[in-house]
Amino acid sequence: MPYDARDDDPEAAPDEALLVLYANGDADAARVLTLRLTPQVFGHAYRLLSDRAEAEDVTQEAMLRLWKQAPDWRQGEAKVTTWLYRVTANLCTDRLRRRRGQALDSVAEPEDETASAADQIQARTRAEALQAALATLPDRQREAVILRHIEGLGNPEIAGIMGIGVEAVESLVARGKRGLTAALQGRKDELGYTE
Amino acid sequence: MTGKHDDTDVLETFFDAARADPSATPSEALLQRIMADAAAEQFAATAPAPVRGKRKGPIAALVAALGGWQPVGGLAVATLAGVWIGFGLSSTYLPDGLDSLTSAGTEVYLSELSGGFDLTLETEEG
Repeated sequence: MPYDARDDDPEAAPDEALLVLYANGDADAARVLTLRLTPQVFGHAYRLLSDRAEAEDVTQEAMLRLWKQAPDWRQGEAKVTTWLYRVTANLCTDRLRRRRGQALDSVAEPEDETASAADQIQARTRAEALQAALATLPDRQREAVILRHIEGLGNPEIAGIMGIGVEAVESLVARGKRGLTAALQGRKDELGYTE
Repeated sequence: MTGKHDDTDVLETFFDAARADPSATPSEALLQRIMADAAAEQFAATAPAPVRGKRKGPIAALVAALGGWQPVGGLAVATLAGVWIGFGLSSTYLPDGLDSLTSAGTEVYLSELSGGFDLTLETEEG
């Protein structure tokens, strides 16, 4: 029961129940939803766009659409996270289309970090390398790989987000991973891994 | 030779690094902006419709019901004109003017004759 769950612990209430509470004027529900969902939305937008400023704009817009949708939210039709991933991907796709024609090597270079530990630097370098490799994939492959292997979603949920079948998701993920491996192959010495 | 299993293992280290990447973490400023948006949307959705201007008093409400100050002014002029005409022309139709209506012991009959607008006034001393 949404209200019981909220009375006990708002942090434990499901997203859908919190959205109903938000629509009914509960300010605490907005806070919990923001802290819970924004990292997922922003992380997804950042990995699709490789640009923090653009990812911030997309995240704010996606969350604003969620707030506007709250009074008309129909429970049981879709998970809030599924809906948000879909909106985020659509907003990112619009921006990627506008960018089309821009050279791939314009993807942001890794920023200088002040981290002293070698493993932190290597982890950071790998994250940046993966980000650059993801940017070389076709949009749909990139989205599927991110949802499956970084966001950790199951194939049926990814299928729901992308509006395709589970087999198509598996195919996109497999092709995407092959593309990533090929893109990272040339940097294996730099990135500190061996086959 | 690189096998399928090896590729997955290698990629997994990159996925781990990506999940821990601080670049993919939202800033505190973004969280604050999103919460501000949430509050604004919540207020807009739940606030009652704004009242235009201050509440009207009973006289202002009556004037508004009659169509505003201009019609009310016309109504007042017409009323005063009616009173003035009534007093001014009373001697034409009433013997002794309005006194005949107010003097004690006098009964006044006002009757309409058929076929015209003439009025006949009959008085009877009591």
